[in-house]
Parts: sequence; C-alpha cells; structure tokens
Amino acid sequence: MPSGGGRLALAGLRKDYGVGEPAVDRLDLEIGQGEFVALLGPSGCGKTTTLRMIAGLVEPTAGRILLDGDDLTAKPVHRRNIGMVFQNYALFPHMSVADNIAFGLEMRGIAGADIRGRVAEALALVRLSGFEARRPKALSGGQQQRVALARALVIRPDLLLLDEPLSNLDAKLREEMRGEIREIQRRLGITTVFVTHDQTEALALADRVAVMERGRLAQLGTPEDVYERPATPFVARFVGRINALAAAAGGDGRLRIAGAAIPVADLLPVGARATVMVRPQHIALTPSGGALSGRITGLTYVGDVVQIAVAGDGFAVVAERGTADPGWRGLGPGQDVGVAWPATAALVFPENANGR
Amino acid sequence: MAGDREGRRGLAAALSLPAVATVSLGFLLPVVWLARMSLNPSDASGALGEGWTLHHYKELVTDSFYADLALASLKMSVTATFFALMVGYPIALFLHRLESRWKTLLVLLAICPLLVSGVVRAYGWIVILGDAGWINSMLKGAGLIDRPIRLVNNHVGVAIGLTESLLPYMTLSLLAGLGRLDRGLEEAARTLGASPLRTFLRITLPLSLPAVVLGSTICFMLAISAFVTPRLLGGGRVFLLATEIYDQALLTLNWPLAATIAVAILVLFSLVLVASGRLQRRVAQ
Repeated sequence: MPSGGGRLALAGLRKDYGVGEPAVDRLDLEIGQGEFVALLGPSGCGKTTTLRMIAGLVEPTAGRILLDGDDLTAKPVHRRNIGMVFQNYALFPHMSVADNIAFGLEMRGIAGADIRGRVAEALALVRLSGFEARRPKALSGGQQQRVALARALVIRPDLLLLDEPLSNLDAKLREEMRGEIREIQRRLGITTVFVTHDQTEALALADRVAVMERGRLAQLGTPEDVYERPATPFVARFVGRINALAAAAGGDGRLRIAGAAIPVADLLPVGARATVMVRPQHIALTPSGGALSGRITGLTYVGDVVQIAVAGDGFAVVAERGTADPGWRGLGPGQDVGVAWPATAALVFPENANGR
Repeated sequence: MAGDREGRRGLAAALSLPAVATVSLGFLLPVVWLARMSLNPSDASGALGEGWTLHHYKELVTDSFYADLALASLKMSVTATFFALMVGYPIALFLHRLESRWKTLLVLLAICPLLVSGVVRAYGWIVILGDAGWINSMLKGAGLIDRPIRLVNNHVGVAIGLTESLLPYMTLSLLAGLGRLDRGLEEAARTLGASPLRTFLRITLPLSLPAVVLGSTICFMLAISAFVTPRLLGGGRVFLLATEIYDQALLTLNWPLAATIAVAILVLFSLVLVASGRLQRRVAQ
C-alpha cells in the first residue's frame, strides 16, 4: 500500500473559543515527510484541538495549515485526504468490517473490484484477514483499533492523525499495538501526528515530541531532547518523574539548597533563585556524608524499580534503584542517609522576573 | 431447597397480584366488555338489544362508508405522522447534538405544548387558520388573495392541528432513540471523504432509523385514535373512525356499532404494532 507522505506545516495556529485563554495559541510546527510526531501534554493543553484543526473538524481562529505547500485552512474536511483514527475508534456500527474499510474508497468513487482488493490488502496489513463480515461490536478492543487503522490507511492519505488511539486498551495490548503502529508507519512512510497524554507512549513512538502547555508549544525535540534536556520546568515535570528543589546561587559555582552547597554545571549570578531538578535514578544515597543529609521516609516497590523517599530539613526527594541491584535491600524507613547527585545530572532552571 | 424455591415463586406471584389485578380490571375487562357489546344486536333506533349477532361486523365490511372512513383515517394519520417526522427530526437531531447548559430547558420547551389542553390548542389553531384568522388576514392585507383560503373545517385544518399535537411525542421518542448516534461517527465519515449530505444519508439516517420507526409508530397510534383535534378543526365535515365512534355512541346511541368500530381500530392497532416490531428489528440489525 504505497502512500504519499506529506510535509505538514502549522503557522501561527490559534483557536479561541471565546471563553478564558485560547485553547491553542501561536502554534508553529513543521513536520517532515514520513516523520512521526507526538503531541504530548496534559488534558486541556490544546493537543486534541490542534489535531482536530489539522483534520478540519475544528476551524482555526487564526493561522494556517499547509500540507505539501497547499493551504488546507479553508478546505472542507472531506476534501483533505487525511486519515484519522479516533480515540473510541468511531467504527460504523451498522456496517461490517469490510464495509467500514471500504467506506472511504466508495466516497472516492473507486470501482467495486478495486475496493475489494484494497480492503483485503488493508486487512492483511493489520493482520485481520478473514474478519471481513464481522460487525465492529463482535470484535475485541484491539481488533477494533486495527480496523480503525486500516480504514484510515486504505484511502492512502497524505497524513495520518491518531487521537489517543491506545488509551482504551489494557496495558499489555497497548504495548503490543504501539509496536505495531510504529512498524506500519515506518513501512508506509506516512507522515503521522499522534496525540497522547502518556509520555512513555510519546517517547517510545515518535521521531520528535512536541510538548504542549496551555495551548502553546513548550518544547519540540527528539525523545532524548525532551527527557534529558527539557526546556522548561513544566516539560521536565511532565516527561518522566523528577525531583524539584528550591535553590539560590552562591556565586562560587555552587547552589545553596536547604543550607548545603551543591556544585552545578551552570553559572548563575549571586543571589539568583532557581529550581534544581534531578531525575530519581541520578540520586545517589550514601550511608553518611553526601551534600544533603536526610532520613528515609518510605519505600515503594513497583517491580522493576524501588522508589525510596528521603526527607531532610527543607527538602524532600525520591531516589530510584533498579531491583536487579541488591543494594537497596538493606534500606528501610527511619535510616539516616546522605543525598548526592552528579553535577551534570542536575537541571537548573533560573527563576525569571515574572516568577516562572 | 425445592420447597424454598416454590415458596419464592409463590411470593413473586403474590407480589405481582396488585399489578395483575389493576391491569385486568382497568384494561382487559373493559376491552372484553367492548368486544361483547359489539356482538349485541341493536334495533332501528339504535337501542341495545339482548342476544348475539354478527350484524355490525357485516355492516362494517359490506358498507363502503366504513371502508372510506378507514381509508380517510389511515390517510390522515399517515399524513400527520409524516409531517410531524419532517418537523420533529431536525429538532430532535439539533437537541441531541446540543452541548449546552440550556439543553434541558430547550428539551422542555419542545415538549411544553403537552402542558396545554388539546381543546385549547385546537381553538388556538382556529384563531390562526380561520377565515378571518391571522394567516388569511395577512394574505388579504398583502393583496395576495381576494377570498379567504379554507384552512379549517376541512382535512387541511385537521392535518395541521394533528401534526402540531403529535410533534412533542415525535420529538421525544426520536430524542430517546438517537442514543446510538455518536458525533464521532459523523466526523469519521467526513474525514474519510464523505460530504455533509452523504454523511447524513450513509451514517446519520441509517443509525436514526430505529428512532424513526419508534416515533412514527407512537404518533400513528395517537393520530388514528385522536378525537378532539379532528372534531374541533374538522368542524363536523371531516369524518374519521374516531369521530364516527363518538357519533354512534353519543348521537345515534348505537352502542353496538360504536363498539364494533372500536374493535376494528384495536385490530388495526395490533397489526401496526406487529409490523412496527418487525421493522424495528430489521433496521436495528
């Protein structure tokens, strides 16, 4: 199933519902041919509104949507040639699986014999051959998801949009479908925009991740960029777990946190306030010493890792240890420990004038 | 264990007794009486006689007057149901899609005609449709007509009044039946290349058919048994089964004949219900 992968560009996209802040504001985004981009953010950040504007289901208040250089903004939904998979799949309940998939081809006036061939091809692609005559309600969640994907792909769209397609599946199936979607996307080379609130999904699937906060693009980068080099405290907090500590610059290349001086890589003017963020896996616990001293307040065992909560005078952090390493087994609540981290692992976010 | 189960069954029977008694005494018994009365003879003055006869059923079948009546009733009911559907469908669809805090209020507004007595509404229509009513006055004032158009005391008036009286029932039953219709399905069809019209024909309409059958059945039943509206807006010139029952029962005082027509309507009802049930199953798949 060859497919034309389109180049998508969003320019100054804005959606204002007239109450409160705009749902999407000043959004600029360029997505290359065949690229897989995830729109990631909490609910209400505007990611779904953005996707629906690309599809044509929501009219932008301002800005333009360009696909391969063509302005789509004024084009009605049914002329856009964009495939979309909805969160609840939106399969037509009164049609068989084959009729669901054939629908888009019929709308394009394709001859019956060709339709049958392409439906069979699409079903083979999602490994559902033999399910032609079934009704959607006679399928499992994962199978419905695959039919929805086949229905969106069979029209050979210029662009594939996925709106939280995995959120209705159980954890195991979700991981399986994740791999399958990625594999199909690569094979077809189709430009894809994927909306999700699940950072693991975004990191695992996307070539680039666009993190959105309150209608704005907070950061656009590779999964490694947004995880290891988050642009803002919001991105750091949203993508993965992280510890945040209030700090003040000492002017000697060190930051004062809860009375202790900690070396950091970045230099800040004396007295400047900052937030220091450290991923739990970078926090080292020592029997004594360390930059900060505290006491273990609790252990949470989650299988592959154990989370160790430590609190001291004016700070609280969570450290994480892989359970394959037996070192954590001696630890227990009430023990005094030293807390430290490598200077390169600390993310320092200076507080700007407006307090963010 | 077995005794326990039997005891429970006994309790269930005892508990359902009041309901069974109410239905039997309130609905079944009168229908049986009605059926019995339709088999009583009547003398020339119409008075109820003793004994058994099929005379009135013969009259019903052989006298073409009743066939005409039944046909007129059928036509009138189908017409009013059709127009109620045409007006009610867009209203119900609009209300179904509405995501506003005013939704409840608007639904209430759609059904509030039910709060006004049918008699009052019929007189309201006479004020609007009469020879000196609003519509004729306006048309005359605009110089479009010289003589008033007849809009009441005929079939047109009855059809207008019936349509209006059916509308709240139609809107409500459509609204209740539109549950399966999800906005996302229409959006999916649009992204797949269907124009708004084709989306309506291929997705919206098929999925709303069960609601259409339900609403039409209810409205057809209400229309064919309607009496007040045909009586008042027909002005005694529109003859339907329901008005004929009234005339026979209260003017001619031929109760057996009135009962016979009533039984005929009951049979018609059952046929429509069976057909509607079949249709409902077919469109719901």
